[in-house]
Amino acid sequence: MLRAETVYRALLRCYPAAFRDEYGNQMSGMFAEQLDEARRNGSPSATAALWFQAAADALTIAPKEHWHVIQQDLRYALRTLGGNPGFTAVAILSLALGIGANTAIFHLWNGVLHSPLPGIYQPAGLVMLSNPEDTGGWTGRTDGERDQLTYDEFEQLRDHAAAFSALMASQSGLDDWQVRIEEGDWEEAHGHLVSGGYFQVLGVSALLGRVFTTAEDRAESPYAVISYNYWQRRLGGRPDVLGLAIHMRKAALTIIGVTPPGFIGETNSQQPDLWIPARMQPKVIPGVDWLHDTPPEKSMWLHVFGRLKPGVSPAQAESEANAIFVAGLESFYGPEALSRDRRRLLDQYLRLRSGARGVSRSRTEFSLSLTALLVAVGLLLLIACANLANLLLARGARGGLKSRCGFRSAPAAAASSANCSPKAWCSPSSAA
Amino acid sequence: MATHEPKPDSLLPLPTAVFHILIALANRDRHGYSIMQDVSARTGGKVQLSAGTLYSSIRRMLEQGLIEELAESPDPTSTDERRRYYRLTRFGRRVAAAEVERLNALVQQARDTGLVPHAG
Repeated sequence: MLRAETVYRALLRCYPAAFRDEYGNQMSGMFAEQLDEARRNGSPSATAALWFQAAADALTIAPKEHWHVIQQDLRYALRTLGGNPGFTAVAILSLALGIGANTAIFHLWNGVLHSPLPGIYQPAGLVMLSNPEDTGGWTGRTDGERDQLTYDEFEQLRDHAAAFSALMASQSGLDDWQVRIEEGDWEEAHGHLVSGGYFQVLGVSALLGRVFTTAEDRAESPYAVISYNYWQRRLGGRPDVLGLAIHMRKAALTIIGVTPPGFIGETNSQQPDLWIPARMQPKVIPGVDWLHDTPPEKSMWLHVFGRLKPGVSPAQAESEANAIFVAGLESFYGPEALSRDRRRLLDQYLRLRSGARGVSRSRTEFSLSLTALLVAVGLLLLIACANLANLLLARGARGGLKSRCGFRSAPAAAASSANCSPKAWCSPSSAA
Repeated sequence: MATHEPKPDSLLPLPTAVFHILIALANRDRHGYSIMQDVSARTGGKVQLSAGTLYSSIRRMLEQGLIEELAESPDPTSTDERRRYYRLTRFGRRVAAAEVERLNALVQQARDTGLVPHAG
């Protein structure tokens, strides 16, 4: 019988604590008496029915009792808040300010530092062979980990690295170009030079027309793919956009496609207007040749993205990429230079990183300040909560004092309590 | 302080368990187990109030002012201190009477439409 009561008391844990405190003993006593009666009658089915009913109660009645408690609490809260509009306004404003600031800053912090690239297929599967936090271009030679690659280096990796299902390169940084659409005025447009596999690696198809293919890597291809925003903003979303000419100082390009809305490319917080094949670089940026390196200078201006083949580990891919990279360096510098300064010239390597969040210089620039801001607004919320707690405490203390005064000044209490007068409980200073 | 008593009709229709408890307390004050036994005996065992249903109903009836808990046991021979006794309030009687009237009217309607034959 003791065991039965223990089990029944365990079932009572399903009910709210207040209900259990009030009726638990009685329910447990009643259940014990019902069990006794069933056993006296020698009815195992009646005993089983009792247990079944107790379990069913725990599943059906207990949730209703919990809901009743919640309703009571809500009613009490609303009554209290409605009775003190000033206090309610201060409390809601304090919390709204704290929560609003936290939400806004968290959104910014998460967007800049942690969000994956929008509008691309499975960003988690993207890897990079360049440094996502580095932008701009470099000419010369670097030591240690390589931040960006040259076009030659990209081509060697693209053609020989078997660990990747595809590789693509994109210009580091966003260029401002002077362009003229058809016979319109010259205007500024933001653009990127990219390799032919750019859209394929990012998993983006054209909304209109087509995107680049690896065919664009084989020869100069005077084409441009424009962004959805540019199409809407500059061309009013006109349906006959394909085939329109975009004139640059030394090149004339044909629009062959429009990207889908939401796609902003591989660089966070940048929104290019158009993409142009990297092979067009000498025409688009006249006066320099970034497609071919002349020893000992290298033009490092590309970020390289890729996707690993199924079953290939990042370490395997990195190792293979470095083998190809070093072979390329050896071929570039030649045996004579290497015999003089081999260690220094080959002191360069690639590091494979996740490309899910894309390229972002602002990530490094604002990481500390945004995190500090997040902590600051977190503290602001904490202060708001502390202020609210203080207000509640002050109100509670005043309410308690009032109720004590009220109790003591009641006629019956005053009459019966000679040693505890209202004066003693409620001096003007304490009541204030 | 005078308390505002709701209209009996506002609580109708009563849940079956509540109505059974009101009937059980009509003639005498009872504790929970006694209420359960009375309901079972009156209905020939067809209605068996479980502890959960009984005390959930009692909690609600106390809040609605249909019953009240007695400060002391009316049974001087009772040795179980866990037992608490409940009594029907005047308001509880009015609500029970209103429910009976409602049910009577319903039965009358069923008879008038020929759904069931007239009594006697």
